Amino acid sequence: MATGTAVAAGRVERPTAPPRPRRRSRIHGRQGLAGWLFVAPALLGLGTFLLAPILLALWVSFRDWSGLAPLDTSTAVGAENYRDLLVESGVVQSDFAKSLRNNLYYVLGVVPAQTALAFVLAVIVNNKLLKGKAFYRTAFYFPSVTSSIAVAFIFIFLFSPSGVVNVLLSALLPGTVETVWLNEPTGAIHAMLGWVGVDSAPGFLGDRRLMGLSYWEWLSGPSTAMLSIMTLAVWTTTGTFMLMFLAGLQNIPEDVDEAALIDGASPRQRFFRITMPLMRPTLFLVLTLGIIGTWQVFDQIYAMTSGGPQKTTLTPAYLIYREGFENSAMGRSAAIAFIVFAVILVFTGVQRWILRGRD
Amino acid sequence: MRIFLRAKAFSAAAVLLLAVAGCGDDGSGDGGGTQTGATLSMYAFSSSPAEDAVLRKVIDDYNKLGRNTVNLNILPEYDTALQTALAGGSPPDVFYVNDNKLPDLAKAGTLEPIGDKVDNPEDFYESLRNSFTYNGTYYCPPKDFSTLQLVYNVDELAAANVEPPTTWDELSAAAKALTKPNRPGLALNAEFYRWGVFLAQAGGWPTDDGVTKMTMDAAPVAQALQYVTDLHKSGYAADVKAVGTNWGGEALGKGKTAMTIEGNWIVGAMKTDFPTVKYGVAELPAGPSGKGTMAFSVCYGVAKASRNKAAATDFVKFLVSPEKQLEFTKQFPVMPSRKSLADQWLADKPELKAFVAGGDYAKKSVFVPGFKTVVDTLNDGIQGLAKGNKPVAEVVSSTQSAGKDVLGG
Repeated sequence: MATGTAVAAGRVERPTAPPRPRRRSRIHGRQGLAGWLFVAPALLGLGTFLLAPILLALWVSFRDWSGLAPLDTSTAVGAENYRDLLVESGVVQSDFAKSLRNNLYYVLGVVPAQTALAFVLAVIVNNKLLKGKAFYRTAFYFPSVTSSIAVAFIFIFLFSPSGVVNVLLSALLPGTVETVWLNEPTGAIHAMLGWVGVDSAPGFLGDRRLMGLSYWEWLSGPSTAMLSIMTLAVWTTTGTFMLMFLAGLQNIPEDVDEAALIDGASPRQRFFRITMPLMRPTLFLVLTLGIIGTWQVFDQIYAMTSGGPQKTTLTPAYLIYREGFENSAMGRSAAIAFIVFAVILVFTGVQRWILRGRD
Repeated sequence: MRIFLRAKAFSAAAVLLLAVAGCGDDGSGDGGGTQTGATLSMYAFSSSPAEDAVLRKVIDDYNKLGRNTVNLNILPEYDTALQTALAGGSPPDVFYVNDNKLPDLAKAGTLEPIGDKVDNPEDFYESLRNSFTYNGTYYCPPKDFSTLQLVYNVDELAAANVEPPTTWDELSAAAKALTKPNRPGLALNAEFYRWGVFLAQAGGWPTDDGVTKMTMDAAPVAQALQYVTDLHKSGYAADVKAVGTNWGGEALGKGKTAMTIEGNWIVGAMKTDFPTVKYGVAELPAGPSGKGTMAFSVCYGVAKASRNKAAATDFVKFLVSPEKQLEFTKQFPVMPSRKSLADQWLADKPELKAFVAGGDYAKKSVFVPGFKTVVDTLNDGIQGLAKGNKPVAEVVSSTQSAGKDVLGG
């Protein structure tokens, strides 16, 4: 109230204003101070644990630091870490290129699969006629609350030569299947081309190179080992996303659906014209989280393959670990992290552009 | 999602570490403190509960002498813990150093060279001293060591009437005789730290002795790789992963092979996991250039940033004194790093003679900082050779060029 009067009066009595702004600013200043005080703990937390590490990591990415001695022993190297990874041909670049390729196939495989599966499961679980909903919800969500390392070890057993997967396939297919899933480096696309008789790179693909890898190598597809890990990833994350879709589905007002029903829309029309468009925000969330998560895959790789066989499960996140902690190249490691950050931004941006509202 | 959290946790750890780095003391200012009256901290990793107990006992013995007090920290995730402590500028006074980490640590200037300060330094095997030497400085005395040798199933060799092979030809013949349908006679991990023994036996090695230039393109390397590749192609040898196991000990114990190439650590694993399998250890067959194997070791490093370097050195001297080293290694399969102790150590385990013999001709398995990328490339190639989807020439050239990227030239 007092503030209101002051403002109103201020407009009229402009010439005698000087003392007033001071009073105004004191009141506002106090409020401002109180406001800052209230958010200070949060800001301090964010600054210390989010902003400072990011800025420091950015700084480290421009330095040569072993990570084995205090940071002041590091030396400035300009953009060399980035140049080694992106421009300069050599083993550093080709390893990074391989990790990008592997992770790209991983993202392209896992994100659509987990999103589609999660959506289908959510629609099923959301069905009013379904009995035992709670059971299904829990069952589908269960993998998401299990430790990823524990799940990885279970999958190692499942995919071992004498594991359940091979036993099952041997029962279904003629002959015995003895695939060593996690030790199979052949890329899926290469394998398929092999079936039609293309065993090696056609000249134009084999000669041209991008980041130290020939186009033929870029087009390998995910290796069998990587496909096994992708299966695991889909299995573990689907439950979480199903829950998000479920929340989205339950948010759709029933009267919209009923209005469509009265207008004579068929179930199929109602699904594609009503449900799907209303789910777009949830879909955006799920895809964004999916892309971010899949570009950072680490645990499963660390536990199951350590980047092998033949570097076909090397991912940028695993490379960050390998370079930083095993190869004592923290600067390079930080540079990889920032490039992956850029990649994630680009992917999310593209996906946002595709999903943008058409209205 | 979890990865996201992990990344956050990592950044949090990083900032803490960096914050500490600011207040750290590099310790180079003082003269290293006095030899007595200090409280020392030590970082170690655990090999087995039994070994931890002996280490604790040895440290108790030292503490009872009243010279200094040592606090032992046995850490899981050892490398990360040590790295954090080092980067923070307040490392433990004494810590285990894996030989493959030595070049990185030495280059970062984290180690005080104390190798020659212990009693009778020439007593340690030369290859081990080489492992802990970087740029001409011998940094730390080896704690103990292991070598790779041929480990075989005694009953199977007897049944097939095969003697442990002593040459490459005999190895091929033995592997062939021991191969059964879908089961190779020899199984080994497809990686440099196993296949490397054949390179040594042929007289080749990825680099020259000083690790200044790559020598992958020398004829003996290709000859060795071709020999092992052919063994795999004919089905007499296989990658342990191809028979559904993770390492040679598991393959041998589960009967997935009759012979494997492993180091001293296999003894403990066989005892606990496969006590009924009767196995023997023989020296690896000699190749065109004679016998060859690789040694792996751990040393006691003293931190350059320690305020009690003199006391820490005194403690390390105690640890590697002949009596204490014998006490520390006697009950275990890892061998004392002092040559003079070999006979006493072997007295109650003559069956491990082959591992000890390797000490005389083993190659060090250590290169230079940043070489991990090259070893990974070679491993990648070796996996391809074992699988049969890469030619030897390609493996040689890719490793050679990866190495040149690191070593220059």
